[in-house]
Amino acid sequence: MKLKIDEISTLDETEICIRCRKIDEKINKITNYIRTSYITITGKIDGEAYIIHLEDIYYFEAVENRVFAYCEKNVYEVGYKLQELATMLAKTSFIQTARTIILNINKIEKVSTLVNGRISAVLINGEKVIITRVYAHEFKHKLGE
Amino acid sequence: MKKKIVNLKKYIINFVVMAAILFALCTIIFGSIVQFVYKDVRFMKELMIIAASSLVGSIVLLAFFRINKISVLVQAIVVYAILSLVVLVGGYFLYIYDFFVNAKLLFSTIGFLALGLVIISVIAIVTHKKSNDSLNADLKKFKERDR
Repeated sequence: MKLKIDEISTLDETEICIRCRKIDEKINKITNYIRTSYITITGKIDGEAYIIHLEDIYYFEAVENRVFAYCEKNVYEVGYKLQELATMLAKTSFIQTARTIILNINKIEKVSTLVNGRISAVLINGEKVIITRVYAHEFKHKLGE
Repeated sequence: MKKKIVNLKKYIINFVVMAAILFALCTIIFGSIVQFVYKDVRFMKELMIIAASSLVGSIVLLAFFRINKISVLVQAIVVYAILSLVVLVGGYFLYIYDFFVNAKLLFSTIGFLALGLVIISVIAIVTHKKSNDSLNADLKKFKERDR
């Protein structure tokens, strides 16, 4: 494999071009990594704006038309709608798990199925999040991809 | 209006199918007991009691499934428990289970029904554990892939 990097100072936006014979698992991994690395979310605490890296976010939650990003210590208010985030993060480790929640799968410690078809997810910070019946099938499908 | 009629039709069909299944099961169970234990074949009144028990059981089951969208194995346990109840209550009204006349039959039936419930519950617990293990294995693989 050859790796070629051209540094062009006049370029408006960074371009990444991958040339391959066939898109395999490694290429998918690289493209997913590039996609997620370039997605940053701006969140606010008490009116002050902060840049949040995707890998630091545990989950997004919509509460009364406002969307919050929950990290290990802080909760940020973000300027996106939940549906916009769901579309934007479709190819990342985030998945909608309830009508008001988008969860980062990488932050799940363990999961267990409940009798009513829902799934209980324990996050690495010990918090418990419920994956509702409507989204449980999609969640299982994403894990098995 | 059309949608309501279609929905109503669907519920009536579900109800009839469930009642028919319960009726068939109860008839087979009671028929066998009456045949082998009492060496007696009674007919019309018994069939009507079984049919009434089946209808009541079907209403309970339908109501339960309308309220809770639950997993298949829990459904099986609930169906089994309600069926057992229908058998015992139906048997009481059919004078098959009488504590004074034939206590052994009553206790053995309760024993077998309880054993069946235990077996289904064990299967449910094992399947639930397997499903959890498989889900956690998938989660682990996903996290490794994404790292």
